[in-house]
Amino acid sequence: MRRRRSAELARLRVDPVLCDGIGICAHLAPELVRVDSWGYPIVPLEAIDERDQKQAQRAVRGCPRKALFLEPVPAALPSR
Amino acid sequence: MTGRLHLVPQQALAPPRDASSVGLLGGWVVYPAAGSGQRTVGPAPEDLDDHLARLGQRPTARGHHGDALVETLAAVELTGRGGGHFPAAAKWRRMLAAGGGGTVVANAAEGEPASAKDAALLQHRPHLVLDGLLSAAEAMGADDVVVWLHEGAHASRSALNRALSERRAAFPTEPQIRVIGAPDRYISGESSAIVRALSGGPALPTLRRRPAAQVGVGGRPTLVHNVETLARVGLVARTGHEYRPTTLLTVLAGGHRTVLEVGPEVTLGQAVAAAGWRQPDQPTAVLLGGYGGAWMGWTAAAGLPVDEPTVRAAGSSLGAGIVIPLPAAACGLAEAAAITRYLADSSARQCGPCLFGLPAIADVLDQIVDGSAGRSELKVLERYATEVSGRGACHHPDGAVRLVRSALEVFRVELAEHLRGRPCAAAATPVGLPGVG
Repeated sequence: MRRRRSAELARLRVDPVLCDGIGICAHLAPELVRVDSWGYPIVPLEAIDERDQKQAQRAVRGCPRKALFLEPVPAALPSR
Repeated sequence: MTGRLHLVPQQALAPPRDASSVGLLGGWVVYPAAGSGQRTVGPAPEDLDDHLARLGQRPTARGHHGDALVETLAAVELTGRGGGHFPAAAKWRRMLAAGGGGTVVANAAEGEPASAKDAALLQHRPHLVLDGLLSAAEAMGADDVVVWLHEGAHASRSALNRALSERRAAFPTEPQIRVIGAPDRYISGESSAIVRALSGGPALPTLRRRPAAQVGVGGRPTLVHNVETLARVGLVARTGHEYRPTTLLTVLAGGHRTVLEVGPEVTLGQAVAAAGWRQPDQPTAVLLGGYGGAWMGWTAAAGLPVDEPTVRAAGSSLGAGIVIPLPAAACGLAEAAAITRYLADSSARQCGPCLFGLPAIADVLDQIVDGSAGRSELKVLERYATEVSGRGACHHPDGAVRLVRSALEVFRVELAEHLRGRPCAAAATPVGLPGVG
């Protein structure tokens, strides 16, 4: 994935059908991803801060199931 | 409405006598409990001649007629009757903006075992449903027209097949309608599961990154409407702004399911009484919107008009119109636990939070029901509910959480007793809701 321009807001999303709860994302992006009682990732609803972009992209690239992705946040939605 | 709410209205509700009136169903349909040996009672199934005599020909919805129909749907505020109450016109406009074409689906896979209104429409007014489906297909410029129906829905299927053969004889130029069998599962009626199945995959939900109206069956724009929504389209296409908004309810009372069509002048209390509530006492609560719906105390619910905006303003929803009153002798927590177990068992088993979370929630509820759980287990239950909420590809887990949270709120007095190890007398014997056992 190409580097996003900072003006472009995005948030992390999980495709729960693809996700097997392996948990690599929580290790690669510990400030963004936490796991639930069964080991499945919970990601923030808000857009990712610029300083967390690298972490988020690392987690997306590291997912063995390709279940994690960045989704552009519509400008109409508040970013936090 | 003032003072005490009476269960039996002064003017008892009755099915309309004049079946020729411009209504959706033209009468009430009573489905007896499975295995009771009784027959379904309702208005005579309407064949094509009766249908045309009552309502006349279906107006065309091609070209600018279709655009006019979209505007009328917006003006009469028609919303989706599969439970979501999403504005129909918004879906149509989204699909037209995506270029139209593609597929239009009548979703007749009524997965909820307590519901019967879609079956009632297909069995008694099949041509009105097909009219709405064909009008939607014309307005969207769709070349693929589908009815999606459970494999095991034999009565609905034979009514549908009869109606389709009548139409083929009378209107040979009408578009072909494909009747596709859905696996006999609760989740088969979920719209992303329909799109996935019609695209050649399994009939299981997917995470939708773009709405089906933009990217649906085979990647083309797709409109999926519940059969009641389409029957209403069939009416609106004829009546225009004169369309009278009513609600189809399936009321579970007296051991049978009664499908009745009522207007906003009728209260939920009146509808429940009319559907044959035979208990000596009033219900203590009512489950609105079916198994993925929400409980409401009877005193709050009985006086509410059968009108979705009003019910929403009161913090609930009629969903797909399923109304399940709770007998005074029953334990609401036990019913909620049994339904939660059913919903857990009905999971598509694709998403971790649903696959593991719903059984975990059902386990804690069972402990609360039998009096073996305390405040700390309740805390765990609340954490599970928060963790599961919004985390499936579809809204199945959200419905379960809605049901559980509303039960904990509405039955809070009983809950406190259960948590002290003193369960209700009826806790061990749930009433046996359809499909739930």
